Amino acid sequence: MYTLPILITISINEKMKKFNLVLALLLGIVGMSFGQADAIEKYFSQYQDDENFTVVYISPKMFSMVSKIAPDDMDQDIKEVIKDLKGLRILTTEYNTEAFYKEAKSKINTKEYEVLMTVRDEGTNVEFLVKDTGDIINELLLLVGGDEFVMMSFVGNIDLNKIAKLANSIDIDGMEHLENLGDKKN
Amino acid sequence: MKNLYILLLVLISSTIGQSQTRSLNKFINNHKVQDNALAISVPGWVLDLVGFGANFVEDQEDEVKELLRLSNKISKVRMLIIDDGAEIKSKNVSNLIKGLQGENFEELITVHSEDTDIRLLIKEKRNAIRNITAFIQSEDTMVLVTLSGNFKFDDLKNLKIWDDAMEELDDAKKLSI
Repeated sequence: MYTLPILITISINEKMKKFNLVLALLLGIVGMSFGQADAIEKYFSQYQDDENFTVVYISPKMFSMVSKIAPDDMDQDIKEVIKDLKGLRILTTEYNTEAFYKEAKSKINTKEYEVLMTVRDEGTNVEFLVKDTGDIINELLLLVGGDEFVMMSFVGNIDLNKIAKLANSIDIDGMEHLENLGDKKN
Repeated sequence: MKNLYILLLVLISSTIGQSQTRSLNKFINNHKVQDNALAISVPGWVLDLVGFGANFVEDQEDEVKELLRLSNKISKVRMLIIDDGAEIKSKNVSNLIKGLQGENFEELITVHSEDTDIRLLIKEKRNAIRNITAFIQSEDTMVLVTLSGNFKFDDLKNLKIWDDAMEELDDAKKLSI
């Protein structure tokens, strides 16, 4: 959160000295961790047109629309997850996976993201990071490095207990790692 | 008085015409001349006739009636299909998307991989959907569909085509990823 005070004093001219006009302009810029959101988004934007990457983006409006048209027989937990999600970005590639994994890790501000869980299995590193305010998780970031590089960002009010179920309903490479969240809970 | 009516008709027609975006017009005009390209434009009056047909559909055919009634709210449909033709370069697709975003379109879904590109964008004004544009490119086939009109999302949610569209999207994602 940044607050940027700007004080401007204008002194007009000799004749107007008696009436010095001091113009104080206070600009408050309320950021939503403006700098860090930029870093992750910039990283996605950097590679979204790269032919070597698979990119998936689902906007907040789409989640809102899907939650309205969800069929009645859809799992209630998945419905609630979709209702509370405000965005999903996925970036994945099978080229230079270690290099991209290290690059992505270097972009993360460890003061804002907390490591929730790390899984290492047969040469694959999986990291779950969260950004939260109080008890609410605002962003879940998944990083995978190994045979493939995956960067996945869920934004919204995230319930870790329910989001693991999403892995079964969205058939996209990388989503299967969400099941580890369910294992952690158990 | 007759001239005033004609002038009003021209003004209304030009307003409808302006609902088509510059970016879409440019993209369609540039690519409809390609080999194996098919460009289709369905004007509003044809859709109104189709919508009128809802009055003659049997009561049990709710889905058909809903579709036909929805056509009353659509002012124009344009399609560009290139089958077994040259792939549209990603640069041209990016330019189209950026152009649409500059014209207040909002991207709903993007799925982009080596040989598949799926984009869904929407333009809203005063809580009404004014345009839905879908772009799908897979291997040697490209389909661009754009609907202009004035309808609410509630008008769409009862259509089973959403289930079909979601199935198509899942199939496309499974092929590409």
